Amino acid sequence: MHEVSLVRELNRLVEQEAAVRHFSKVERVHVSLGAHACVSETSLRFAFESLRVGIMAEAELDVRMVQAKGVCHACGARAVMVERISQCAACGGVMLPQGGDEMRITELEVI
Amino acid sequence: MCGTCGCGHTENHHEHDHAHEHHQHGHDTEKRRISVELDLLDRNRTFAAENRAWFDKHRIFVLNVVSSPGSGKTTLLAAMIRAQADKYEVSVIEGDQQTTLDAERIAEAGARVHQINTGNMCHLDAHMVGHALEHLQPTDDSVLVIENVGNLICPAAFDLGEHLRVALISVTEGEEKPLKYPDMFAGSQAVIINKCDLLPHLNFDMAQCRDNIHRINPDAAIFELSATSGEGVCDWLQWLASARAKQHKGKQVQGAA
Repeated sequence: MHEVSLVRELNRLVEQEAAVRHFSKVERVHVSLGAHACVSETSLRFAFESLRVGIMAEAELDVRMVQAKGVCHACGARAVMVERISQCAACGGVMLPQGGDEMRITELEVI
Repeated sequence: MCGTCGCGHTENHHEHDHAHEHHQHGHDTEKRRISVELDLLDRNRTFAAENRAWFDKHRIFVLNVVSSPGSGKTTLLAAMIRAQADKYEVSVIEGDQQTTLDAERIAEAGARVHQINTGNMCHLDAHMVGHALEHLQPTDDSVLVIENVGNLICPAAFDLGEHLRVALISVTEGEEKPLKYPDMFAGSQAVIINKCDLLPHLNFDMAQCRDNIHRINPDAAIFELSATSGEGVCDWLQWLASARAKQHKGKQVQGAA
């Protein structure tokens, strides 16, 4: 549900960037989302399509999901965490996510 | 660096020579793809850091209490306020979508309170908390409790500048809740299992619930209590007092399984 406030922030950041980088229209926004960012891609897309305004009014959204890496709480082994709740392949310990909560705009296609 | 042409500039994009392979029209109508590094949570992080710096300057210990709606956050807070009245001042920021009902219950318990109505927002953010502080003006050396909007998903993403995040679940919600909403439990240093006075009437597997919490957050300190009967509240308050003392000594608060 907080996808709405994220899209408002996205609009704000892109407007700011437009003033600095001199563009007047955004055709596509590329967003990178961590697997544990507490964001649903579907909801983000819905919020984006409902709330895009100004220079973003006709923009498309491109979402790239980023896998989270994890470290074992018991033995320190590192691995990609496919599931949010997972055990260490080496010792069965609890895997703790390292990052994976990012929500970043990485690229803009602009005019 | 400029993402379009690698010119090293972040602004004044028009100044360099663009004679190469361009059409008749200028840069303004040129389609281009630019690299940016814009973090959607950066603004919240900045506000959260400002809040935290202010809390530390005034030695105010701050909790962010999160749970589903109806887990008993306000009842627990009222119990804490009554129990701690002679030890330290407690003030409260109440987050709810609508109404001041919770704020009224907190005020009745004897704490200063400021209500934030989030309207269509599902969480509190650090900016709202910063403005609430202007109204509430918590005193030096006090404890501030931020009662977040009842929601186990969205508040997980928003640092408010707190020292401790406390997740609350009630035994009526079932022992699987931590597995269903892992992010909230992963980010909480303490988990309170509330409404334990109802256990005789329920099929709630406490050992399984504790195990589920530790499967997500092995370091979480877990407290079983009933905010209504008061049972177990003392242990929680003792732990909280030691966490507060550690914070004031500049140590990171850690859970104590």
